[in-house]
Amino acid sequence: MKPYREIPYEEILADGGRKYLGYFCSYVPEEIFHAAGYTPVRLFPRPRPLGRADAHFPVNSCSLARSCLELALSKTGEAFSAYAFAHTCDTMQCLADVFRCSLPEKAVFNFIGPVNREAAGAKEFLLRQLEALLRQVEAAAGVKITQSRLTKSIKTYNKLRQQLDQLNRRRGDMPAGEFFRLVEAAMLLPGEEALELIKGSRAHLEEAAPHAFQPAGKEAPGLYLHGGMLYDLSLASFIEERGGRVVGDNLCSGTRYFSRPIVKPVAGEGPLEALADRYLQRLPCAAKHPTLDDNEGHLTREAGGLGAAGVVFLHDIFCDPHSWDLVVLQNSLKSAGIPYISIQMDHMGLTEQIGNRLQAFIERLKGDA
Amino acid sequence: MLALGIDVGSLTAEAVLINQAKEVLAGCILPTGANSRRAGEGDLAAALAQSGKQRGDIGFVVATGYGRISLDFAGKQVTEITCHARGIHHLRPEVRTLIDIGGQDSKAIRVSSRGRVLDFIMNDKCAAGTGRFLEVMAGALEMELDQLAAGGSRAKASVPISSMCTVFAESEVVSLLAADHPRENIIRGIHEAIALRTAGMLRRIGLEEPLAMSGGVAKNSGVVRALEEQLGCSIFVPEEPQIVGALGAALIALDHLQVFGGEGEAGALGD
Repeated sequence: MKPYREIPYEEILADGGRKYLGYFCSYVPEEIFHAAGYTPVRLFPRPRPLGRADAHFPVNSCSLARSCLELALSKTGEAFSAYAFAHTCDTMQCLADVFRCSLPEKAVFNFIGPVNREAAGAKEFLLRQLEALLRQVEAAAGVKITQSRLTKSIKTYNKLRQQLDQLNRRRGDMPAGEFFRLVEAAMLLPGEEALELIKGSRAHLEEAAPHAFQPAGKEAPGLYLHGGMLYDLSLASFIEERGGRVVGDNLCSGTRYFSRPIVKPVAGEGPLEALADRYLQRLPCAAKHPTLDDNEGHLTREAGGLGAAGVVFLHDIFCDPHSWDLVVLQNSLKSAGIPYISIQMDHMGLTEQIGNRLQAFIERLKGDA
Repeated sequence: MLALGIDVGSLTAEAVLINQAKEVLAGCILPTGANSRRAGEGDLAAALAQSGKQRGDIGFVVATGYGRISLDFAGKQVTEITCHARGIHHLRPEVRTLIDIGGQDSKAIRVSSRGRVLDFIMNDKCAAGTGRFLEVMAGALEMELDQLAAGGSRAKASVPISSMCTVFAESEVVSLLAADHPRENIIRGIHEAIALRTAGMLRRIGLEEPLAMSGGVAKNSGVVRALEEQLGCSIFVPEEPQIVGALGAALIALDHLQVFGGEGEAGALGD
């Protein structure tokens, strides 16, 4: 099956009747935009030569930012009605300003959530930000986001994330590339279409014989992927082709997208409070976690609990938040006796050198020599 | 049955043919050129000619290096990181850290007492400090690559090279020549620049002695000496450092032969 990332954005954005919203981060509350009539479409870096973007950002800055800016400034980018950012780092903050200046005809939203999710007043701050965002979206879309509209959108994304969460429980029974492809599809396609696609894949999995998928035998070392976005789906397939298997992940375009899947208001609270609760309880990432200890503890618990033989750190070569956390995370794995490798990628994806390092890491875990 | 290891790198392709007693029957080094498969086949032919053996005598082939995927006659592909560790362990079992600098990359490898890879680190985005870097510098100095070591040994002082980008460093060398700096002093500066970069990589992975060096750049005694000075320790360089990866591949091929045999298998060349 063809990975969705390989389908050009021209095809993803083909329905002229839709108002497409390009968004950057899994912390963007898609439900609010969906309730206002936007179709949220995640912005993924693509292996494209960069020209226009380099007028705004130096080449040693985040390639996710540069590659997506290139898309936005291209003819294809004209299909987007609006863009949404979640404030995660200085680059994203500056990128939002570049979008505002360079694309004055588009609505640009910058959602600022708390970095330390357990800080005093974090929920109150977050609620104020969500309310402000909701008002901005209403004004830009010319639509009143009623409580029932928002609740309906929340239900759509609840179902989508729940399906992905169920799929995650069976990920050992399917190729890793296929799992990540479906998570990407959930972020690229209209919510309702993605839901049908994932339901279909789940049904297919249920019909398959147990343990029908054996990527490289029982002795294949399990790898846990940790970091930012998976820039290239073929990396997951490459791991399996070279004798490894993926046992779990904490990636922005993987499990982090659907972690803590259900948004449900508790008694006396409204839908925004429920959205805030999910934000505060999701998997930690380099840009959003209560403390570094929390991120570190989560990684060693997860990797150890899933029986991972090693951890592969995957992040953009110029990503500051992930680079800052990397040393502490590596030290925690060293203490736990879990081998790791750090792979830094750019938008051009899996290169010969990266493949070589991954294969050597798998050989090391297998004790090949 | 014999075991063959072929290491197809970016600049050169090496082959090592060994027998069951792990004796080296042939060791060949050829330029890779534009076609990895052709380079591997050339190596195979050269190894057979050197040893006087036939294709049918070879029970299993392991390919390594960047061109390993192109060698469809190989039974197994293994990274050069694993192969260099295995090769150096065979030559000097006490080695615990290995520096391998080839045509386009450099690697620091921690090796276990059994010849396994404990950890490794390598350059990925830039070829500075590799064989290609030296080749370009030799071109800028209008010298042959193998003249650099002797040239550097005659230096009275060192002229530091501040650019690590190969292209910028070439411009810098041209400017230094134009400013009448002695060529020998510039060469020493080039060797020290490579040593500085390599030492940084070694410190990141944690240097445990004894230290060895393999790959084509290990043939340049100027780089080896500069690195020894940087690190304050001696470096073991095998007699032919360029074939260490191919030797490791041949030893892995022999392991395979001893476990599975070679008759009629993929990787056995047949007549």
